[in-house]
Amino acid sequence: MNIFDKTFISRAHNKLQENGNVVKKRLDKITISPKYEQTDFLLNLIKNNKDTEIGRQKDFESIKTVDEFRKRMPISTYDDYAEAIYRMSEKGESNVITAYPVTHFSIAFESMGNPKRIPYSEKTESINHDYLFAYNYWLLSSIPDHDKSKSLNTIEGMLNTLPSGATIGGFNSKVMSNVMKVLDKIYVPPLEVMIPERIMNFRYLHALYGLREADLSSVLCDDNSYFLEIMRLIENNWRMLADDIEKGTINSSIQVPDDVRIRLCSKMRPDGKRAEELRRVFGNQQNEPLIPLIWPNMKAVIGIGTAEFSAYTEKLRKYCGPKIKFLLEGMITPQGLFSVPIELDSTESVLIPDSIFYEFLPENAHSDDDTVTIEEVEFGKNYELVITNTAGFYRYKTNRIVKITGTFNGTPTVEYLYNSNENINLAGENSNEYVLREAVTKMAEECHIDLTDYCIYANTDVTPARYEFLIEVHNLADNFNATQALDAVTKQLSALNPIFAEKIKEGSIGKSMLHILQEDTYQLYRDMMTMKGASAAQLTPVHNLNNILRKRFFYALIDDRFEK
Amino acid sequence: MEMVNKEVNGAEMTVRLSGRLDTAKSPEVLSEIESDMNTTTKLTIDLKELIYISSSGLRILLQLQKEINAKKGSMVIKNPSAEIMNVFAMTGFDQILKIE
Repeated sequence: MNIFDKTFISRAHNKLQENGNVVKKRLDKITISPKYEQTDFLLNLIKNNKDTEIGRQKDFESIKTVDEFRKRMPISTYDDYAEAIYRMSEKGESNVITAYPVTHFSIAFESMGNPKRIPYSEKTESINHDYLFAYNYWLLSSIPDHDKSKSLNTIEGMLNTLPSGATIGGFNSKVMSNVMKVLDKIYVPPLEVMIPERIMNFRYLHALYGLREADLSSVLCDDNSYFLEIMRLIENNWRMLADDIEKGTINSSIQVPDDVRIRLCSKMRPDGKRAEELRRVFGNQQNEPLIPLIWPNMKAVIGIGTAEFSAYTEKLRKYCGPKIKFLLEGMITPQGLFSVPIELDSTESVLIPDSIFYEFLPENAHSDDDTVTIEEVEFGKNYELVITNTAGFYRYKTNRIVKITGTFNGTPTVEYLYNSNENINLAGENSNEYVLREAVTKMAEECHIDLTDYCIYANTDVTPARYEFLIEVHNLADNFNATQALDAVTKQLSALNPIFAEKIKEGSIGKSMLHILQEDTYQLYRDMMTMKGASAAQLTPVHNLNNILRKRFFYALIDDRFEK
Repeated sequence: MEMVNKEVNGAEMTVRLSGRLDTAKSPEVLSEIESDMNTTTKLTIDLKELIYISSSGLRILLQLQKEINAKKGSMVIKNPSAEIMNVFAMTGFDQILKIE
């Protein structure tokens, strides 16, 4: 790194530190009295949107209290906004559901069908920028020297343009594109890879540029599953990567458009010393964590690593060893940023009172009318979040269930548990995603297998109906005992959900089945969805085969070697 | 027998795959095809001799299709067996790939 880069990085970090301190102070202040902040936030939002189509229709101008708003506005779902979003994204209409300019649409895939477009306003962008850049930086500042060298940025930055002129893609891509000037000063790889115009082999390039930088201080990813994938690619391809580093080239078998390859290679200096270091590490590696060996100054991994990604985070921890910290980002969805972590290595996060207006529908509530507000939630209870955001969604049911874990100042802290769309309920047992995940994870521990991911099909075509587990395992031995795994997962699920055990005993649910998926099936699913236009940042792993397309896909990829 | 038989004629490449395209074989198959992909805009993949394709193999087809799409080129899959065609149909690949 030259002196100019070092100076620039130092200034960029100083600026981030300064902004981080400001946002942290603001968070400290607004979390003291969340009821007051939420009321202020909502009433301002309503006032600012009184002249929109929806504002006039619902007479926002006359709404003066939170209760009036909750009485006037019904609970909503995506279908309530679909027509408005079409007009906004395709025809560029404004002031429809939000007065804030919408310059971007995020893509949400909730099945294998058509993706949903989620408006992302400039107001939302500003909030996200504060917390995802500045506040996260403040959190990292507790780690000495976390900012002395570059980070590896693996966030997918590709954006497309809609007929309205707005962009479409991941919201993280939008956040990044707005700070493009500083990106390549504080991150690798170069801009041609971070904000690409065309498809190339991103995984290899992330691995290559990451490995070239011996001094790497942190890794930034959409979610931890992607970084795990990079680590596996490195393990499998380290010889080729070391050769490329030594020669300052990108192997010709790696897909990169010709003009981009020429630009990238012209900036890449051969580095025989680094190549030798890496060959020594991989040649002599025993059972030590790999990441500190290849990046001795690595301090932190930043990305979504909670709930459905927790299995990937645990595997990454084995690569990282005990000294590398995880900044597990809070609840981030295309609808907005719900919460931020209050410390490193914690899955607990605090709701942000100036980002979204939150309502809480108790888990298993009989009616949507049972929502409570932020000051009314009870510690230890689970709720579905219902949100009003800065991009035109009012009292929107998110299907996301959180547990209230405590408070930060006076504001509830939460742990994201599961998506209620993913529940399985054959005979009143209602197994949610959280208990299913726990059962499968504990089975994997008991059977000593390296679980990649899992899904469950509630088979109602047989009598009695039954659960069918499909698991993908990394490097599974040919003599793996699937029966033992089935017994273990049944035992674990019975302990976590005693009603499931009762229903099996009384015969209203049949004996479960377990199938092994071919290796790479989950990655294939991810690749297919991104090819259809999903952003990697918004793709969550499939755990419930609750539609025919998902079912057909995963059942087609069962590994026959383990079927009896 | 080689798993990949490749003919390159200017911007056209024809690849004949045989045997089992599984997790173990996929990296070398991809590497073999990729080495000529930069100059290819018309890709034909003949599966007549292919008896099995796993998730890893399907990822290769998807990767190649992405690359061809990016160049606005064309890719055709030919002669899949009934079993492989069934996998394409079940996974939705028949909606993404051009299959003859």
